[in-house]
Amino acid sequence: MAVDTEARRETVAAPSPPRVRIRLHEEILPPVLDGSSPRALRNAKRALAILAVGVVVLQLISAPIGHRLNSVARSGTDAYSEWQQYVSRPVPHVLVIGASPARTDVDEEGLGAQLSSAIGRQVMVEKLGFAGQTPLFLDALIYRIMKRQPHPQLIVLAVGGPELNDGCRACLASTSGGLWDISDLSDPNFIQIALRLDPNPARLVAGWMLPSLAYYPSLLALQCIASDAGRSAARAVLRGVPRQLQNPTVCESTAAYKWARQDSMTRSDYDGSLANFREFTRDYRVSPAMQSSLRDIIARSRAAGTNVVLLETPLHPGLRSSFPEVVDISHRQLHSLASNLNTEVVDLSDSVPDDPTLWVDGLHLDRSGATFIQARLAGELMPYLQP
Amino acid sequence: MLFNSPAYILFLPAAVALYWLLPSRFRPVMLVAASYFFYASWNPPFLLLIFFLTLVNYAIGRVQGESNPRRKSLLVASIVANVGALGVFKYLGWLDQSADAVASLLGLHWPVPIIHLLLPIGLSFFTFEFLHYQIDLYRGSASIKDPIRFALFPAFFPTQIAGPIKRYQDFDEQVVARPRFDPRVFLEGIELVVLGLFKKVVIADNIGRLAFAVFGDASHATLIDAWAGTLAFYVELYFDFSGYTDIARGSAQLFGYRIPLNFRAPFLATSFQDFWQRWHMSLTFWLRDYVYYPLGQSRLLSALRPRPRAMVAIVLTLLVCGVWHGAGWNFVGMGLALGFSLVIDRILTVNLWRREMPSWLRIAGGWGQTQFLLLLSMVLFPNSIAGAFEVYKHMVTGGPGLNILTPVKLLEIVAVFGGTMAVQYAIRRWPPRELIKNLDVSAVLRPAYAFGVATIALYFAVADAAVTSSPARFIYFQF
Repeated sequence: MAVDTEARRETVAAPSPPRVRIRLHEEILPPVLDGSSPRALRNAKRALAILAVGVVVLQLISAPIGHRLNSVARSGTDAYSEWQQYVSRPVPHVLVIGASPARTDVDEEGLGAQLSSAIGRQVMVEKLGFAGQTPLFLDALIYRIMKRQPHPQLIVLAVGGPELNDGCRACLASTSGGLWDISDLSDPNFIQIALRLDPNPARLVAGWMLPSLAYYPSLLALQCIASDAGRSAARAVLRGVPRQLQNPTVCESTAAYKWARQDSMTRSDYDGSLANFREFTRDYRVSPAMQSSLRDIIARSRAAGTNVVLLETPLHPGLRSSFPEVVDISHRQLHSLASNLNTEVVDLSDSVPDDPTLWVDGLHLDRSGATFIQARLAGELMPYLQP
Repeated sequence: MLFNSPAYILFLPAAVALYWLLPSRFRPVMLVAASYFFYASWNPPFLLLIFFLTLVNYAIGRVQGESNPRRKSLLVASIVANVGALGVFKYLGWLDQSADAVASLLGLHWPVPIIHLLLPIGLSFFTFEFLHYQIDLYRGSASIKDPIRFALFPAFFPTQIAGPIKRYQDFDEQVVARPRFDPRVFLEGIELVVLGLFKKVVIADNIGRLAFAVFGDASHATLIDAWAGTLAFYVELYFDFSGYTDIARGSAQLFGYRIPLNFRAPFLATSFQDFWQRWHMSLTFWLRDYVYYPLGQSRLLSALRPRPRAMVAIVLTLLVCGVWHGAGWNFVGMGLALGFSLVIDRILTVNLWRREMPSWLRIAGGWGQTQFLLLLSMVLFPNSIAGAFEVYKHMVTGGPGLNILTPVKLLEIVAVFGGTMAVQYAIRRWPPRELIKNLDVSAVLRPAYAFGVATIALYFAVADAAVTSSPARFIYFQF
């Protein structure tokens, strides 16, 4: 035990407190600050001023930089990029919205062409798929979609099991991020809706006030940028990429990245989605808040003269057989909800076979998979587009 | 609300801004309110416990004094209240389970059901602060009359959860003086917060995974795996807790308060005694003042000669230290191991590393002996007794090569340990802040340092979040 400030001194006497102390609790007190130098004080003031200016500037540049980095990290499928692309184009006749399968499982050009030829007029299809988002976020999104004139003729609301689960913490946590990306702070109604829907409204407000807090997670994309730069440099200098730089980056591990680039699902993709599905469907329960949001989405769309149909997206047969109870409960609850809300469900959940060339992973189809279900989906949607 | 969570990143600036905007006479009240809010954010009902203990200690403190004929009874009452709260919440379940296990071994029935109580965060820390207050009052120090000032002492949120353990004389002196905004203190506070975040997120969390990998699979560890895993845990513990302390000290400085140090380059310790003057200092010196000295002077050990008395007092004090760290037999073992290590260290220091030896040899030998004994004791911190013996077994009889770690991971552990020693030595020899404080360039370098370190820490926090869904807890979080 410490008995003296001199480290190496050996004490053989019985322990007793030293008689004289220079300063009470001297041993643990932080060193006294040197207050004699006006220059040090002036420099500290200047440093604080620079820090304060830096913090303000950071808030101003955080959102644009964050959007750019998020776009890199998610191969252009982050909520901000998706929304900006949507508003930059004419309003479609059919809009598919939902979590990420809404984007991966639908080939909008092919579906549009098929619907157009079947109906005999030009049908434009768009899709907005947001990774991990639940009906809470989609409710706010529909508000923004319906604020824009004219409105889509049909909203296809893609919902599967995981995103309806109240116990999916990762899904709920992503709500603020999505809302920041589609925010219109000049619209008090949107602010009100967003605050009501976000499970963590304090975080949402904090992100609005301090964008650096909202967008610091986008720093992850720096890893991908650095890795890409390293690969380019290696190609230029070494005429090849070293093994250490060949591993996929975090950006290259997303379903969005693999969607158009990967020929077939690998074992690790499947295992990863199996683990995700287990995590996302833990303590499965469709919460009243989710039901309320689904009801609002449908009511808001119908009030604007838009039809709504629910789409149960394909789930890999392996996942279906691994989690039969969850799949059954979510399927029954979705149909029961649809019945209560007086809307139809297009059920494609078991429409795609166990063929790796059709899947990105167990939760998402690839481009071939999207083409595979295209005809059936077009057939199901056609009645809603008839005059 | 963890120090490394987004909630704290929001809470702290808001509290700091409000604090400095208020007139100075309202600031202590605001800090008490903010501290109770901080505590309630974890588990609101336990706010009642801190209220209750504050009330009891304040009431006893008001009547305690050298002139009070019942001063000893008052001291005993306060010790019963504080240690009782700690005993009930921290140790009752463990004692109950131990009694049940012993009864089962003897083939008897233990009639009491197994008790599972949630340990209120920070309880071990603020009860030690209350005990220090009461003992010092008993010894003649003046009490804190103002209830707000008194409530602020244990509740002060930067130190509420895991210290450093404050001394009320130093803290209350600052409260009375009403800290004025000092840019040097504030700037140092920001630097400490970002440095603490860096230590936790970038170093502790990453190297901790290596320790976890070895301890989680100790039966397959080779000799090198076992030693390297233990070294990784030692490094993790230092960076986790010193990171926490830096954030606590930095947060306090943003309100103008300077609170005790906890670490002073412990990897450079060249004796066990030296180590305890560098590691968790606020606890060490608390134990010295309120356990070691009283034990040494107590009638309990008076029959012993001075040297054995000092040795017994050391072992008992470190046993208290071990048990304070947690309710478990591994912590009892750790306390005893640390106590006996200190005794062995003293004997070796006197008999082996003699003064007539070259100083470099004495320093090197003392350093090696200290770190070796520490590593052996540290094994008991994260492991059960059985788990620790498994690690010890492999530290002696483990096979050659590496089985759990890779050569790169091994290099990482050694490099972080060695690099930390080199940096600590350099910083103590040439303190960077002292070197640049009078240079005009410091006005730019210090913000650049703060932004740079914060960015790296946030990057690692995000990278971690991509793997785990929530920020890693501090090891000393629920003490």
